[in-house]
Amino acid sequence: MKDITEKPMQQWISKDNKAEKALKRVKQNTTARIGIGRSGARYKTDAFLRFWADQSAASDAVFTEVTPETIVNLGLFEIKTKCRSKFEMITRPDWGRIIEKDQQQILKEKCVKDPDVQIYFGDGLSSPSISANAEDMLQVLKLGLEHEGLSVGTPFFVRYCRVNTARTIGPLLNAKVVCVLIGERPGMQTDESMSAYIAYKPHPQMLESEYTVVSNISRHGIAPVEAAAHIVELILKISKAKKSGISL
Amino acid sequence: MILKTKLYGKSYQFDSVKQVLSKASELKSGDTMAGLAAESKLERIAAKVVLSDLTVNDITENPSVAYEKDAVTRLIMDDLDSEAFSKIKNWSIGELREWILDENTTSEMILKTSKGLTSENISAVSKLMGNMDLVYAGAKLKIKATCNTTIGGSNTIACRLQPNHPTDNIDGVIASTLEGLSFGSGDALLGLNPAVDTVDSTIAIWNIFQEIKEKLEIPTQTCVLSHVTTQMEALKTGATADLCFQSIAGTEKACAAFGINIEMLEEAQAAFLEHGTAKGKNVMYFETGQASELSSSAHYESDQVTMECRCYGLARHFNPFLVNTVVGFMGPEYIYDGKQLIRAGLEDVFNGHLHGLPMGCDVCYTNHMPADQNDSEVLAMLLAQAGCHYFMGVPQADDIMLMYQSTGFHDIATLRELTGKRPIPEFQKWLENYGFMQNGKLGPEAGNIDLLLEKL
Amino acid sequence: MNNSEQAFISAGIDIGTTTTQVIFSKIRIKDTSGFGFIPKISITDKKIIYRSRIHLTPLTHENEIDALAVKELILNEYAKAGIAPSDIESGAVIITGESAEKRNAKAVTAAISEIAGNFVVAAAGGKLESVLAGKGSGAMTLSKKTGKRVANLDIGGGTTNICLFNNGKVEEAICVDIGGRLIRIDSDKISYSSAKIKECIKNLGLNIKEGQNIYNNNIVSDLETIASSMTSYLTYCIDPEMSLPKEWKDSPNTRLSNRPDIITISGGVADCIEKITSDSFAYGDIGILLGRKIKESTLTNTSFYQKSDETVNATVIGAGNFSFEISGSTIDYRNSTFPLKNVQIIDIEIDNTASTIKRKIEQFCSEYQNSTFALAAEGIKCPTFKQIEETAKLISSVFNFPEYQNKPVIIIIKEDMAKAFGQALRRKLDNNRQVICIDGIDCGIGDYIDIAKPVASGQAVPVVVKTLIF
Repeated sequence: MKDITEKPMQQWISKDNKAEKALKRVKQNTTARIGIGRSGARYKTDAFLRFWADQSAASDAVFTEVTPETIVNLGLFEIKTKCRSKFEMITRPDWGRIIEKDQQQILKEKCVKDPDVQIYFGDGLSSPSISANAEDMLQVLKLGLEHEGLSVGTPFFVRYCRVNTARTIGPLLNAKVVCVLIGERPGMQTDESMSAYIAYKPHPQMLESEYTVVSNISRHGIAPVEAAAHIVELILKISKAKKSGISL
Repeated sequence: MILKTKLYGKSYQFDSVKQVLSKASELKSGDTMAGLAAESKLERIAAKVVLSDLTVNDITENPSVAYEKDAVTRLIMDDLDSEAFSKIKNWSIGELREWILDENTTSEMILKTSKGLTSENISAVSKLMGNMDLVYAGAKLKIKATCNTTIGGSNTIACRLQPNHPTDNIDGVIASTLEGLSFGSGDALLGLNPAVDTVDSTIAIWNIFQEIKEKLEIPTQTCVLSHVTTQMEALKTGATADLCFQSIAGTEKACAAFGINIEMLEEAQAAFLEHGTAKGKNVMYFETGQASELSSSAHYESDQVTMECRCYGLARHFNPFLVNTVVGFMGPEYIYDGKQLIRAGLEDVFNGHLHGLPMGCDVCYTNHMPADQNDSEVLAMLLAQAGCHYFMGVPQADDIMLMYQSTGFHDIATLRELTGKRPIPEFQKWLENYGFMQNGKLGPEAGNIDLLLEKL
Repeated sequence: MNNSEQAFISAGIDIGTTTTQVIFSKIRIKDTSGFGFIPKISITDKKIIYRSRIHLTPLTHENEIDALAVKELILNEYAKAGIAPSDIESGAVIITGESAEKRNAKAVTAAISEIAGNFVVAAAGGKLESVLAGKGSGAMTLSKKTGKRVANLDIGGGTTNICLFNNGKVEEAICVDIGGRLIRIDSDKISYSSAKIKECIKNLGLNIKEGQNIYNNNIVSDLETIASSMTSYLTYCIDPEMSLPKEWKDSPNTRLSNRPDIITISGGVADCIEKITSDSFAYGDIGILLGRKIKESTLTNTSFYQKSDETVNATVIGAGNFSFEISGSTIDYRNSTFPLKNVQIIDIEIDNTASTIKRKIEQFCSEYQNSTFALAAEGIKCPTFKQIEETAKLISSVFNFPEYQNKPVIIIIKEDMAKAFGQALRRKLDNNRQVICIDGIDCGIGDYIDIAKPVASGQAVPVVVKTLIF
């Protein structure tokens, strides 16, 4: 059955393009949508539809919810931020970092205290990033860190999550290192990208620059297992240096 | 100065000029988040009614941030043309609006008068305008600026070719640049947002743009959108470009969050006038966008349209070649959806024009906004009518580095064809020589990058 | 790590039939990924910082390479360049052309490797030389820039090494026995002619014999005929449309199967193409005649021929600047000392069974006894955790066999998965085990590799893949 999204845009050149040979060559250096031809001054039908398919996937990734089954299948439990909907999630980034008392209580009850490393997932701006990457990443991180002698806390999922939930969750569970794995704002290349924000002893007054960031984790970017293995080493380095972010 | 009114028998009372301006503003999610927006549609109209009766003088005397507190306020006030101001200081904002819209009021008259208007006044008049008013009034303003070529005039739509690449890969940048050129984009400038803000990458892209411009003999401008301090460092190595770029904001504090101040911009302008390659005297390129002040908590409880206007007040001090409002990049917490996006784009371009600036608009949206390409296309068509100086040219509107959608090379060609407007004349000739353009439309060779590649 | 630029020094040493050269290059590497991205170490610049003069290769009376003299010559060049052997991180020594066939070549290479630095390695062979010369001449860059098929002919004393690039990638590499010194002249007399040339002379019915004075009996004109014939043969080698000149009928049928759009010429003879010399035999060989004939031939038609960036230095530059590549930037290694030299590749598939892998290792060990080996696989694009675990379990089980307990675990993968795989392997092996797992390197059966000291704060390693070696 036809699937117009199968072929990477990077390999896509319009039919009868005068510069086809040159385009084949130069497109190796960029994923930009060049060489797509024209109908009058507008796009050809297939290029037009492909654009809308890619943009719609990105948009849907923001506005759909991670299903409860996904959370259960990952062996996680769930808490929420102050936001009550995707609408609030995108219009109130300030609420997306607040964990209210009742939710804090759940964490206190269900999580191991004082871990060397606390890992948790957040939907952020891409729900598909969770189902696409979380399982592989969690396993590699957990086994890798434990092999290096670090204790890993009880992982969980935060709905309507922003990165700065770490400022509350870190002190709450008394974790040395917090690693937030959160859905990135989707682009047109992929809607499944995840980022890792890692901080040494995060606290409410910490600066953005104190996060060590690994982005572009997806099957279209850096493979989740390979990214996780890289993060294992970063966390080792952060634990030893007792700092994270640009000063690392 | 009256700060209250009644509508349908109900009283509406406001605390300050600043609050009137905020509540009179068309709905933006950023103003709501900041707690500044009108609580109902009717309250918004009440604020507009109060605003329409305030005088130019009332608003001038009540700037968003006090003169003593803020360098941007001081710059705007000190730059004010006192002669122009004295002629209109007693006009109400409602009268100012009608005078601007009047068919007997010419572009020249408006631009002369607007030198006496503070940015808050310009913000105020835009709040009394519907979308069609903004297009209608903006369309008459004829503003020109000259770097290597001259942008503006009544019959041009220009384009910034934006060949961004996630790792600044030179070959990738060249590929997008040539494609854009072959579709008629790039007369306003070749301008890249570098992925990493370093002296090395700035120099590398400056050099490649200069090389393309010279080898292909393109009548245009070059620029790399790294931080002004990075460009100054790069300039010291002997590398150069035509335009100096910087993102600016509407208060001293918000500028500081961008790592800039007015002196720094003055130094940069002087350095580019001396060491840059521009032939003309307009060497600055500024970018703005509603709510950058709010995002750095430096908005002084002012609405985002007013703050944006103050960016233009700051910009006009430097006689820039281009000012660009990146209207949909800040995210849905500031500009929520397509409707707010369209409004903001029309406001920014009109307000910039009324400041006498050559305005461009990056008509764009991010994927976490409830907006899509159709909204972008509507705004682009409206702005083409409104005399917007230039738009972004990005391969099929998809910016692979900034991960948002803007306008595509095809859109530029379409807007020109729809409005009968043309590229900057020298650039048009250049396009016609290659067969990229013919009779105001794309030509038989449009998209044929082979013709350019063989000369590089 | 972003933007931190680092550099290392690479050496190229070319011991040819006639001449020996040394170059040193500064190779700049940089993390070219953006902020917040996983590092990607790339080469950003290669700059030659020292070129030796062209030395005649010292030979013993028995016409063998004089190992001691070569060693001294090279040490001298290090001193002149102000570079210590220990400064060298990468590069290659290659013994090229007929020299490589000389009996003591292996001993010479060994002697030089010892003094030439941490990571200068010995390699030789016609195809490798062709590729290095092609890269060193600038033909690869030209091909990448134009997107066209570009063939470089590196015409030396004993051989012509031809490499065809398509869109910057090696498509074909061949080596043919054509060179400027196949006939040598000493004091106006023919002092030497190679066996191949003798056959050609016979086939053409010419009158050239060793010991003859070239100014008698029209020998010069016969030599010109030979040079023309050599040119035709070269044309045949690069043009699939041409038929084989009959005087070369006994030559091996080695030629390109695709016609290049552009050719470049490097090697010593390249300098004789443009240069006008009054003495045709100034170098005591027929190199100048050959250069002239090439100049008159269709090979140098303007539509087809472009001058190369480098002529006589192409091979040595290739050895110094293009013999290595940089691994992926997410790799894993523990308990290892670098450099590792002459690691032999055992080709496996990710889905091979343990017994298959064990059999392959057994075969290898019976043939090569104590040589170091690496397992090389294509790998999996974006593997899952399960795939990584299962494969690691399998490979570790093989290395846990008592007979391989002392072997270092070296894994070379093409796809980006080495860090995850290396960590998984280490979890299943003894903590003290030497484990090296790198990716981004494509190699296969019969290859040898050298792995240099890690660069860029240990994030990547330079690797030399050698397809041919003694």
